[in-house]
Amino acid sequence: MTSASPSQPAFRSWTQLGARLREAIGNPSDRLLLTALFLSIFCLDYLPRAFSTSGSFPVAEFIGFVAIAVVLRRFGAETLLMRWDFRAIAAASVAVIHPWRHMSGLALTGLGLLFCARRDNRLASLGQLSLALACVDIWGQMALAAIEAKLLPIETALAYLPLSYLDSFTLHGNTISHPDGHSVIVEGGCSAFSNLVIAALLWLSFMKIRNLQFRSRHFGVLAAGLLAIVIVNAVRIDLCAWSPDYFQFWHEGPGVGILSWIMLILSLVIFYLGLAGDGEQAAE
Amino acid sequence: MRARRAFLFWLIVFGCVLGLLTRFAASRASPQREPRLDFLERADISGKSVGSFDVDGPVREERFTLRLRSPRCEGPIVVAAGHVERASPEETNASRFPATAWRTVYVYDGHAYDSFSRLSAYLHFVARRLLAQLTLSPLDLSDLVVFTFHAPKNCPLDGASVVAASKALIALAPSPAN
Repeated sequence: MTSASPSQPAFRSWTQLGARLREAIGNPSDRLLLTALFLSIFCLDYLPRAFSTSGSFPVAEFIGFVAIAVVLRRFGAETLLMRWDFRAIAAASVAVIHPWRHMSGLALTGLGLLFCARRDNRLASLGQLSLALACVDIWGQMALAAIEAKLLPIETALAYLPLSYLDSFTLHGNTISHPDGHSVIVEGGCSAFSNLVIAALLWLSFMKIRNLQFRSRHFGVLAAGLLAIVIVNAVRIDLCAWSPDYFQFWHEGPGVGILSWIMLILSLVIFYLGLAGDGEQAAE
Repeated sequence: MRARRAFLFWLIVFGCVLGLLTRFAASRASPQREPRLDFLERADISGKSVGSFDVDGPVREERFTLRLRSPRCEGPIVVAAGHVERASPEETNASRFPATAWRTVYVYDGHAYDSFSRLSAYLHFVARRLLAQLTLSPLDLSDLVVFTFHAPKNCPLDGASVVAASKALIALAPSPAN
């Protein structure tokens, strides 16, 4: 008597899965190679930040990697990589062995520069997302350090504007002072610039997830998101400047988290709703 | 081509595994911890000699600012230690220490400057930090900190004395291991 055991179909599918896996690894497609590389970068330098107590959860970067996964899904079994790309991928996979937390940012920069000018929209999208992630990680901070001496007085003046109507505050460069002696100095960490770079990454991720081509209307949505962040940040500086108690709450206390989430949710809503009206535009 | 692709795949996997191990080892060795200069952590700093100056005491509301005394100067000399990565509020300093009454000297990386280019110092710092991170070696405080000395205009404030004072202040800084 021969009767098929209930586990046989499952066993067959496991065998098939193993065979397919062996075949895929034996001759990996472009999609598999790039997926492995981006997964490696994500696991090494982004995933640990989700469990770190020293910084906030990197929501925008996670959405950026989701966008990369969505773009990689569109690769199918096509061969798009060239000889130089293999060398760059090899160099990036060796570079991320180094434990410096910005090494992934450097690797993403190299890959981004290589891919972003490609004619194929999927490779170009990967390049743009890689560069955006690298900007959040390294280049945005460097740009801020280079321009903050000029930028911070402008941001402080913007925050001072409503305060000047409400009470007798005074403005000196990047310091807002109240006659009662309370004053705040706006430093690089208080600038909206870092959040603007993060918002730009979110916008680009939404663009790529929805497979949209760049149109002037989309840049309008980006501008609206950036403007919202600048306004919320100016309000944050105003709250810190209002009184020592307010400073304690909004700069040192729970207010920090509240405003960070407000900025994030605001930009997510603006980008989601702003880009939702457009149907998917296949651009490969 | 098939073999090359397979090799590349395993190189990526190998890099990921080795990367995990190096990060685990690095977190144990803490090579990325940067030294700090926080005068308020040094309760005993008042009265100490730094070069040709004596420390009067820290300015309470500013963690990184000290008042110094010099036998050659009647008024107090104010020295602020700033991180080269973060711009100091130049315009605020200009209003607190106007050029008509005060002389300002900057010290970075063992050199004194009457006017200071923050961008070139920052690029120097980035290069040093990159090198330090790649070689897993600790950063030196002199690569991180810009000292700004404000002295009354009639006080002599020569480059050698402020450089010596900044070196002495760095030597007083708590160790990053503390």
